[in-house]
Amino acid sequence: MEAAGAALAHLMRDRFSPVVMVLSTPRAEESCRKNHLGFVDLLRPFSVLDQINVPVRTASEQPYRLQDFQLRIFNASEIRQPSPEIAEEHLVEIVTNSSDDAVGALQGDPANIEVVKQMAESETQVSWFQRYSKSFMSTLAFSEHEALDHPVACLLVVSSKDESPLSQFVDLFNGNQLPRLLNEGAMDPKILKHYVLLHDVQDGALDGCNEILFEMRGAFGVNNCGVLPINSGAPDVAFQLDFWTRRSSLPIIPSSHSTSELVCIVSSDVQITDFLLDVTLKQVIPHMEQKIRMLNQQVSATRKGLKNQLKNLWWRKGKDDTPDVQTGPVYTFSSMESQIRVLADYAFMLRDYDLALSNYRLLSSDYKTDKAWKHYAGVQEMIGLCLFMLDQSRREAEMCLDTAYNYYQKCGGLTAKYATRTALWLSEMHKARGQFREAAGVLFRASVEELDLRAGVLLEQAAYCYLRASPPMLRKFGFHLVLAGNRYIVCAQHKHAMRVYRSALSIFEDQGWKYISDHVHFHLGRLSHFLGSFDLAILHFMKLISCSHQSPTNQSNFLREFLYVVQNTVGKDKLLELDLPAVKVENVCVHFEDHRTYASSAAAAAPEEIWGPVEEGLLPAVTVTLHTWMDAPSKSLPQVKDFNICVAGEDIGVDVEFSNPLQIPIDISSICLSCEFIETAAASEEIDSQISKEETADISASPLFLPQEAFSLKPEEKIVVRLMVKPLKEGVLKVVGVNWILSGVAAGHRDFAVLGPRIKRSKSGARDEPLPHQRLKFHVLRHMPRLDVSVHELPARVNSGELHRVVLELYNPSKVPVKKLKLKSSHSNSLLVGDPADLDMEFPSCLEVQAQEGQQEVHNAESFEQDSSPSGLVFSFPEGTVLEGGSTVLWPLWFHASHAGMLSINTVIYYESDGATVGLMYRTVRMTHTIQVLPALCISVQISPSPMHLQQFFLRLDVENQHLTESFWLRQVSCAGDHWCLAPLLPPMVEQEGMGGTDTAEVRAAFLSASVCPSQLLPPSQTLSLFFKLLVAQHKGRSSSEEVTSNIGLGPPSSSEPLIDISSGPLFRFLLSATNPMSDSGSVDVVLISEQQEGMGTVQDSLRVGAHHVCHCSVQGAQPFVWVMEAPKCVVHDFWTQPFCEVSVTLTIRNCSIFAASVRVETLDLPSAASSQTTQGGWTSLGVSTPPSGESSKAEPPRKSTSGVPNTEVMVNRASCGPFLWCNLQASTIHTLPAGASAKVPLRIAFFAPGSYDLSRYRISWTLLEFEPTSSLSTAATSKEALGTGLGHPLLLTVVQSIT
Amino acid sequence: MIASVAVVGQENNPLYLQSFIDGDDALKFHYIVHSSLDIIEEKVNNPKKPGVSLNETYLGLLYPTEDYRVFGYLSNTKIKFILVTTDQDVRDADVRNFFHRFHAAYVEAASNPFHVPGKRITATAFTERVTNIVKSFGASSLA
Repeated sequence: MEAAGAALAHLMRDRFSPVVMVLSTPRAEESCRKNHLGFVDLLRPFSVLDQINVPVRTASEQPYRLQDFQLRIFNASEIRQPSPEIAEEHLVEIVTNSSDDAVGALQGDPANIEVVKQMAESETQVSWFQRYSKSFMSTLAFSEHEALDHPVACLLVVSSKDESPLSQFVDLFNGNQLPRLLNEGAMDPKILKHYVLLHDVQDGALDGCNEILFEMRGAFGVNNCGVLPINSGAPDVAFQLDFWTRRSSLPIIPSSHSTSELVCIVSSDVQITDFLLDVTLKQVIPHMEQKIRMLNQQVSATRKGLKNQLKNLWWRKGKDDTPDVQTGPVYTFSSMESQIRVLADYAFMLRDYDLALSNYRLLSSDYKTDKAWKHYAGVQEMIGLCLFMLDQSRREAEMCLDTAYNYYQKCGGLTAKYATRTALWLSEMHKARGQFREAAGVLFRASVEELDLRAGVLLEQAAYCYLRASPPMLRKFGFHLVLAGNRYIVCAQHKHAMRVYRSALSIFEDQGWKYISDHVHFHLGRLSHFLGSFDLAILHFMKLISCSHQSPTNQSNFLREFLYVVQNTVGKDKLLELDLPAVKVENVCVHFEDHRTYASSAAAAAPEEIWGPVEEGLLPAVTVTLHTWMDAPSKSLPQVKDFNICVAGEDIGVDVEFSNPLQIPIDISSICLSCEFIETAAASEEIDSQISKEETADISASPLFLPQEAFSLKPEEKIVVRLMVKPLKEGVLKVVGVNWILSGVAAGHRDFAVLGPRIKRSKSGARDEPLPHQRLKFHVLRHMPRLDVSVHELPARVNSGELHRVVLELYNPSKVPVKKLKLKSSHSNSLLVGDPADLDMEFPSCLEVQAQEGQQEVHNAESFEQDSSPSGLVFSFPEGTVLEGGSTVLWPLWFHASHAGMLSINTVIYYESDGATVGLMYRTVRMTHTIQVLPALCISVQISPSPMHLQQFFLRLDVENQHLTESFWLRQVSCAGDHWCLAPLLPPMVEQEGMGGTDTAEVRAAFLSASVCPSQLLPPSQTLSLFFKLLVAQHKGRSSSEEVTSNIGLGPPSSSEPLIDISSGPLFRFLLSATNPMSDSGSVDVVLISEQQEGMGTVQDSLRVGAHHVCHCSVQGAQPFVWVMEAPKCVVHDFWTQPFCEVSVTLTIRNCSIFAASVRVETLDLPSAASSQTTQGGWTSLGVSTPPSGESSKAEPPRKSTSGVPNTEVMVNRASCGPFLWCNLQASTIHTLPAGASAKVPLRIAFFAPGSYDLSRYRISWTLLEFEPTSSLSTAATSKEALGTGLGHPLLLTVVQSIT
Repeated sequence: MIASVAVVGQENNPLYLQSFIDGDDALKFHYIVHSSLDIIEEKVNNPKKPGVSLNETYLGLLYPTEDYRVFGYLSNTKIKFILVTTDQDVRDADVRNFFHRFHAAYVEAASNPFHVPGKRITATAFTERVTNIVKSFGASSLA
């Protein structure tokens, strides 16, 4: 601060140094003109005397010394105030010329705040603002209200070549070239005169002058004369030029001469220095000292002391009557006030600030009383400066300057400029003391009243003051810069405006104050455009165009302005990083096909995971090197896989999201991807062009085909566009970004910035490889055929159980044939590959029982089984299937949905190319189909064993229609396989024929159907139960026609509808896929075939056939064992000859469970109470059971059909049964009876009387063997099953007395 | 009359700015409010009377521009409320009262679960409420 204060003090001393007026004759000027300089210009560089030591005494005889001194030398013609217009022009010129200096002063980018701060802090006197400030002040010099600029001395210069130099001297001062100030009487004309004889050494030796000098001394006094020889030096161009341009200050009034072409022959500077030193020390300073002393005495005499003050007061009061003129009274040089002012100013110039201050104070009260405001303000200003120089009472100094400012301002007009001058001094004082905020305030206040340009300059300085304040007030800095910039724009100072706006930008940008930063950007853009830096202009406008927060009017304005700039400058040639439309660069989705191709977009959209299981077993195994922890860590870093594979000639799609942030619609055209393509030169094609060349998108010759898109975005619309690129050759393709043209004018471009997911473990923030759908790099491989696959006739909605034939169409658009086709589906039990022959047949009828069925079908079935076993149902097309280029293959598929719900079937077709020159080994086509399966018929089966026959079961089939609207025709019930056959449960009347089954009569079949299914049509949500007899099929010895019995048509009696064959064809295979092939023969698979007529029509094609499977129906009843006792119905015995009759019976036990068991058979004796009663014989009163004696063969069916009622009779029977004895071991045990096996236990019975006996007096108890070890978790219920007991079934045996 | 009111967030980012002078471009108020942040910072960083102003949310007159007077208010969460008036002499109590109500309105707006802290307040309810407060400010000063 001290340094700053000293610098300012020095500045003030410079500015307020004594003025020396020069009057020269034309010839004298002419001599100087040889150097292209005027006389004044010649002297000026030497006017600073800095190594002197002059003793001076103050008015009160205090001695002090001046270490340095300075003179201001002006031509007489220059000692006047320039007209305001010229002054302003001059100042404008200074500002204009200094625009580059201002930029140069910033050592760096003006957008960097630190650079600006550094510049502001290192402000020196040579900075452009200080130059401006100095020039501005000098335009205000030579005012009549202050004596600081009044010439102290006058140099009269006459050339030695002039004729009669003496008279010339006299003429010079009397001429009309004297300044206005002198002529008008504001200045004392009796100033110090010094007579100089200028001698050009080139014209002759100095000697000739001595005579004239002598005369001069005689005429003007010894001390007042001098001679100055010039043009004595050797020409030293470089030195002179530098010397003069450096030390010559700019002239106040623009003069015509230029110093640019200095071919000078000047006198050595020593002579001029000596001359000026002589003048200053011997003439000027003593003169001033003397004058101060004289004036001080005068002032003391008239104004000091109480008496004078009172007199003055009284005298002043008398002048109160004078009208208040704006400019105040005119003071001539002789007036007391002027005298005091001169005294004070001289004292100031001679640095006797105390004296100056006291006189200024004295004067200020006078002026104030006189209401001479301009003078008053001038005095106040000087008081302020004096106080500053004395470094006293800062507050007062500021107040004085403030007062001066206000009064100057009050005077208005041109005087207001002095206010600005005062403000400049004040701000400099604040700055020197480090009070930057105050300085900024002063400058800002001054700027308000000033003209545009000066206001701009002041505002900029105010801004720098805010920046230098501590802490820096950055926002105010920015604000004032913007204000300054605004003023600069008004004054067409574009470079300055540009500079300040750029500095301001850093304050406002990215701070959330978008309106402000937009405003700054807008002006910067315009200025840059105006100044011809188009890139910058576009850059700034680009920041503007995506302003969503602005009003639509502003948005369209900005956009229009931007487009205008672009159109007039770069046009479409340059790609710009536009933000309009907004592109989601980090979120793109790539669609491509490597070895995986997709039949439809739905398949492409399906997630990758679902294909893994489908492709398993279909694709050749990939060798995966496994690393265990024992392996040494691999040296090479894991290579990041950042590319995808694709095939030449195929499209790659990139989904890009565009959005319009604005509230106005925008047009976008020529949207395409920008790609880099490095062609791997194939050795066969181009040997010389092996250097990989990089090409950008150029459609005509490039190896890429880039289709272009165009669309227009509505306000705030967001769309996703799939952009395509098609590489036509092999190489490496990199999708870099996206290009577009905005509104047909500006070419925009954005790079994609896809990043992989961040690796969590690594600390370095490295990123994992990007996900496959985000990799933008492609290895383009050679052409590989790509099959077009489609599936026809596949309905979108089916009922469950429906069977459909669909056609798979494979088309090879390429020229290369395709072979080794394989197919695999995710739902192999719903979609089967058919036989090519299936295509030729009519759909429903092909299912029917064929006449010539036989070996071929069986063979087929076997081949499928072979296929299905190794790799999960991969269907290989026959070896010879080669798809030539351009050919199509149709193949039938069978579709059958067994369960309701949404079924999405994913199918993969694998193929290899036949040609050797293809990029990929194989390819796959992925298809996905979603089918809605509606619930239709729901069937359930209940099987109970027949108590009569071991090989017979009853089957109850419950059919429920779960469909909401449709009804179904039940067509056929079948049971699959050759272990079982199905027979209708016949009414007793036709029983005797029904059992045969093989000899079919038309009438009987009709009757059968009618009886089995009373109503063939099953309406929605109805239930129907059907009953069948299930028989174990006889041995294989029978012909195949025997199997027909497993199919029972449900049609009307008269129907001649052929039965549907379920033992071959697709139905069989679906059944096969539904059943477990390993299943044991102990279970039954039942198929119900239904059909539906599509709509009301009776067209055969629209018949829909459904097949419903119920598989693995266990034949096991409530108990795991079935037993039947076989005994003759009737035994004839002669009791007379033989007292007892012995009959052997066989008990057959069959194990229906899945476990081996041990079985124990116990025969039960009669309870003792009963035995006593049965002495009368076997015949008892069996009311109901007597008929069996006659009709033995009729015994089974009634008991079976009406099982409930006779049981009670049996019970009665049993109780009253005649006595018989078991003649075998009471208990026999079969230790292991394997699952499904049967065992016979021979038993013997002894009867003692004829009669009907119930042979149910036995009990079977069993233990499931393997059950126990596995049943550690078994609950009570299962353990109960493991052990069981059953009583014998009632069986009547009649013993008749033989009649012999 | 109130020319403009503003809410400025913790990071000195504008949360809300509304001018109530017709036909006058809002940009000016953006500049005024933005510049006044300098003064708020200064006031907060070196309070003149430490004892008093520590608990005082009302910051008083920030600075007078040529046409406007700017008042400030700082919440405990460093949310700044700024008022720009055209009145040359405003009663201090009025301004305090205004700021309290303004603050309350902001608190409610910020309590909205859909408001993201640190983002612009776009709720129309807040705008309406502020407009009412501004209107009533004019009325009370006239009374």
